[in-house]
Amino acid sequence: MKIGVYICHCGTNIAGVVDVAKVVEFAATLPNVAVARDYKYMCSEPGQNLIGEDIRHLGLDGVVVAACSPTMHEPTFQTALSRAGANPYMLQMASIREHVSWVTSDPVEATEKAKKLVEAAISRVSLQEPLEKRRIPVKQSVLVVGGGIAGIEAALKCADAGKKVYLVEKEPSIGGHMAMFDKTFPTLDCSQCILTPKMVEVVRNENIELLDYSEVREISVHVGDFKVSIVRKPRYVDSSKCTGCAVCSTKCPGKAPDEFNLGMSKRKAIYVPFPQAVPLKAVIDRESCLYFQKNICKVCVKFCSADAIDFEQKPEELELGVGAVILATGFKPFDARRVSEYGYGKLPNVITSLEFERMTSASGPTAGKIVLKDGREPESVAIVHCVGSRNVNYNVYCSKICCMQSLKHAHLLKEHLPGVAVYDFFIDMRAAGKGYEEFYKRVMGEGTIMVRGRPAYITDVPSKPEEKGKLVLVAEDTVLSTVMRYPVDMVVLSVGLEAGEDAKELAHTFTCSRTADGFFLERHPKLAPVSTPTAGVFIAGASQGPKDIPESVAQAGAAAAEALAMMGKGYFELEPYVARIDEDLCSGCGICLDLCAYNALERIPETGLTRVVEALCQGCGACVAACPSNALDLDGFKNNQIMAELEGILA
Amino acid sequence: MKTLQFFPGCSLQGFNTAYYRSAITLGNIIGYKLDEIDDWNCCGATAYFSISEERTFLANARNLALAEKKSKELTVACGACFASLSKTAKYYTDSRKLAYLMDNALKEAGMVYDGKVKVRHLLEVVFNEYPRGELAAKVVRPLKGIKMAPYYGCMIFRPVPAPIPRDALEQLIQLAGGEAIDFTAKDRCCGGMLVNNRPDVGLALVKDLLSEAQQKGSQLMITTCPLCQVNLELYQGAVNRKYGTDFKIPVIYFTQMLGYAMGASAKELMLGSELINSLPVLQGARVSKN
Repeated sequence: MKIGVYICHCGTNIAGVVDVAKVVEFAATLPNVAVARDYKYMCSEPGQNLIGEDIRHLGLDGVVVAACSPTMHEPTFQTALSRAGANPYMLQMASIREHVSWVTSDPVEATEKAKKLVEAAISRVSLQEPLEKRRIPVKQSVLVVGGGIAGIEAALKCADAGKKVYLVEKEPSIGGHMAMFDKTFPTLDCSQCILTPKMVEVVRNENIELLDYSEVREISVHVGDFKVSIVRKPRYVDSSKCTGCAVCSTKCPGKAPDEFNLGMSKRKAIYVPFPQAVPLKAVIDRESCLYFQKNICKVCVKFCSADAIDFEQKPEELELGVGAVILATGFKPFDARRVSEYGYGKLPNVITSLEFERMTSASGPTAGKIVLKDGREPESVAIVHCVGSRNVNYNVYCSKICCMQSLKHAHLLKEHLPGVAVYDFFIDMRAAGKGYEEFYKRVMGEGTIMVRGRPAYITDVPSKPEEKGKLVLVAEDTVLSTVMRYPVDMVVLSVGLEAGEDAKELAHTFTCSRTADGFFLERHPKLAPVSTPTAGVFIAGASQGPKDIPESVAQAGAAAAEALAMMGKGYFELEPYVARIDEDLCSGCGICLDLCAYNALERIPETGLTRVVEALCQGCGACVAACPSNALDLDGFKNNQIMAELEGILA
Repeated sequence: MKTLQFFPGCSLQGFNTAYYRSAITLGNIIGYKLDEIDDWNCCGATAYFSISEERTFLANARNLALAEKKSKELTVACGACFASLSKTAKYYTDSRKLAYLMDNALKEAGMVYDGKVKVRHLLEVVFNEYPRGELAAKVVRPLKGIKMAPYYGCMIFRPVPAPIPRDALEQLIQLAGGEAIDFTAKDRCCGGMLVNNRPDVGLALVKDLLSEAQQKGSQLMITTCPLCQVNLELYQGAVNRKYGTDFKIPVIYFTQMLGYAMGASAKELMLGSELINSLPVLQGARVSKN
């Protein structure tokens, strides 16, 4: 065995503390070391060439690089080994920057520690074996979960690139929250007008199969070939026949609160969710349908000229195989009832920001009129920021969109009701974004009164005659350091964004993790923001964290690009770190089966022993550590290799 | 019969014996016994707390250490004691620095605390430990037609919220046959000590609470904290003089209200010992037709 040892100065990062020359001198004396060198920047082109030339000229079969952490540059040096014709897995790195020079100030101690780590790496590399990366073919199709703006965008991008896309939406129509908004900040584009062309394109695009009113029930995570089982809920309307004319809906006697208008109006038991719905097909809600509840009526059957009503429809199960998954399942608005001091749900004219959106929308419950519950127009309105956000009692995080949403509402109020007084209660005004600060200035110029302070409570109990019949916000104006009472007619609570109701279940189904606040966790917050720890599963939109429309769209594009890059390559490369079982030692106790988070272990029916499904194994090593009979071992992290490393350190 | 390890605090032993007595009486009816911890000390809620919060924690560490010897739970009826003790228990687990200070202080007294005590408010115990149906079945003297303002005070939910829904007291009032008003001020400050040292602020807070209760037709206010009871009742005269109002609303404890509905005598609950007698209101309950 011939080993080359390379000690990096990393400028002064390492050499400033560690006596590099001494480490080189020491390494040269160790067994199997054919050459030991140092260089200012090992990761640079000349540094890498140094290794390559030694491999070619001295016939090295093992390389130790003592430099930064392997998470930083292991791939760099592995590539250097490959280029020189050596097996990339015959490399071992010693982290003498993160583990030594950055955390040890005494040069003598640092040098001693660096020597130990180098010795450990040398003794390990002499036991390493050449390994090959595993290649797994990737299916050329994508599953997009969630039909809001992020899901729509991701689906369209993948479809445009010629890939087959399955877009799953649990509601009867795609569109998500964006379809419910009136205007978008800061440009005041009509939200529906910019969204509906994309929604329509989803059904027009022949590469997209829209699975509306459907939910993912199960998925088995085989990298490159996910087996997905999907349930299509019965619409009780044959989509292939329904023309969306909605005559059935006008005749239907069953009524229920309209979800799309947040219960501010009623819809029928058979209904088209909203005029721009995609697909534009009716759906029957069993709960309010007289036929399903009392076995009477059937008026819709009588009036449907397309003969599309089908009370006998059953849930339908579909099995799909896809190469990549994009999760774009969105958010849930914070439930304002939880802040009992604000009286939402009790004080009739305290409404949420989303309700205000529906109210200002021309297709909303009030046909675009901003009115109080008694039909009067408000003379004064308060907007409250950070409801459910930036508050240790609810969510500590900033929901990011509410400042701009509130400013937009202030603008819309002034536009709809020119004489109205608007008070905007904020903690900090966070208008970071392109054109956002300018919009803030504009709204201030329109006469909205900005109050820096979070209201303590809202009450309908007057303490002065002029407060009679008003909602009174009690807040400290922190600029004046005075507690003030603000009587108004209407209060709009700018509610924060929370992880979706089913985020926990979805995370479990797709084996991805969540942050403490419930949003999906990306693989790296900066460098892999749309990837998850599960290869082939990507995330986009507000399911990853609160974000506005432009950011959701950008992230959807990024997730699509990641999925397309994976499919374009055609195969997926997995690290060669795979668990192996010595069948002679395995007793079939099965302890490892429950430990594997990737379902990569299975029992062999004939023998009762355990087997590793290579394609699923992620090389985490949990099973290896747990095996009581030492039957398991992990390529690249074999027991004898790790012991050798330890002996090097302890020597 | 459950045994609840109990921390009465100074109020229940002095000014507000009615709360203690009625809590004992209620326990005899619904099935708990209050077992007062030996040699407890001040919870530091008002005095030390405003001078040095740290001392509050040290004083309470002693109370928690005493409690831990006998049980993992400590029940408290006073809102201020609940806030101080539950805060101390929480900070002991959350802050290494405070835990260190508490451990050292206890060591000097030859005591140890393991961080295992759960501090509970009596309202929470009554609400969570006894099925509502069971409690309702014990109501023999429904408080029909009596409008009450459910007043929790600020400390039962702050900073460590008792694990009850925000309408727990309303549910208990309904179960006793009464009617709870929609009291938006139900968890707002009663003025605390400010009625003494900053009457301009303290009395204004008391007035806000009373005026909402009065405007919504309350005949009684139901409290869960002795300090709130005192402020709301004792200072009605001062508020009336200062603001020209005419408040005269009796203020009683939830234990008295439940106990009365469940048939205990006024004497056992010390009802009628208030400055504004609640008995005329309680006795005026509409007699049930069935």
